[in-house]
Amino acid sequence: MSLEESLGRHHLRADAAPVRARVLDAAAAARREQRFRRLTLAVAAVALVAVAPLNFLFDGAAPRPRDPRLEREADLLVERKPDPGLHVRLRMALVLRPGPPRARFAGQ
Amino acid sequence: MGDVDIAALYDAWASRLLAYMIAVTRDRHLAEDALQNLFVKLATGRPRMDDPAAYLFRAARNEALRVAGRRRETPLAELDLVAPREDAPDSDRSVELARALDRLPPEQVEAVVLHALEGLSFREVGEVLGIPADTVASRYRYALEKLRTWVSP
Repeated sequence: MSLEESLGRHHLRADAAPVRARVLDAAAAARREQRFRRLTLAVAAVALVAVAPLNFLFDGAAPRPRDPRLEREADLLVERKPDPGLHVRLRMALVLRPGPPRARFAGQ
Repeated sequence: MGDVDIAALYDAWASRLLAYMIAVTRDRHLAEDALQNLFVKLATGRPRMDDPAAYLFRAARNEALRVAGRRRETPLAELDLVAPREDAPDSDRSVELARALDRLPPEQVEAVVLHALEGLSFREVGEVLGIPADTVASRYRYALEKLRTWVSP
């Protein structure tokens, strides 16, 4: 028998069965993680595409009407007595009003 | 492109790849870690399976070399890797062949292991090792010349 024939009758032998479960579990976990990551990215991208135009829309909209209750309160404070901190408090009250920045400061 | 059926791929290839990875790392535990890394990459990547043997053996080699860091010197003969094929159990010269392979330079061992023992063509071995097929054939020829002087006919 020639050397090449002899080599051809042999092969490298190892049994991968003992680590089959471990390897396939790791592969499945990696695949799940990858799918979750892709899904998260897709949701984030959709959310960004959906929300970004809304932000521009609100930002360019007319300022919302002021809260009459807050206006009355401010008027009372002004009438009651001169107060050095009044301007700061009024400003803070206005800042805390809901709505985009341009609407909040539109009246100042 | 759909996901590769990893379980089917494992059943078809894992034992051959593990054996080759042991031959590269010279350590069964390192080879098992490398095998796991390889299948994680196959599960999450887009493996090119038009020539599965060349692709998988090349990926296995890269992963085994990465995990091993550097080659260890454990002889093949001690790893009980070379064995007679199931269809030729009466021609067991595995110990003699393994000892002879241990005397070859590493690049010639790879050529013999992949071509003669794993049955890859010179072109496929070239793809695995990243060298031209002619170079593989040359290494194989030199290896056989040496082996003929060491292995009894």
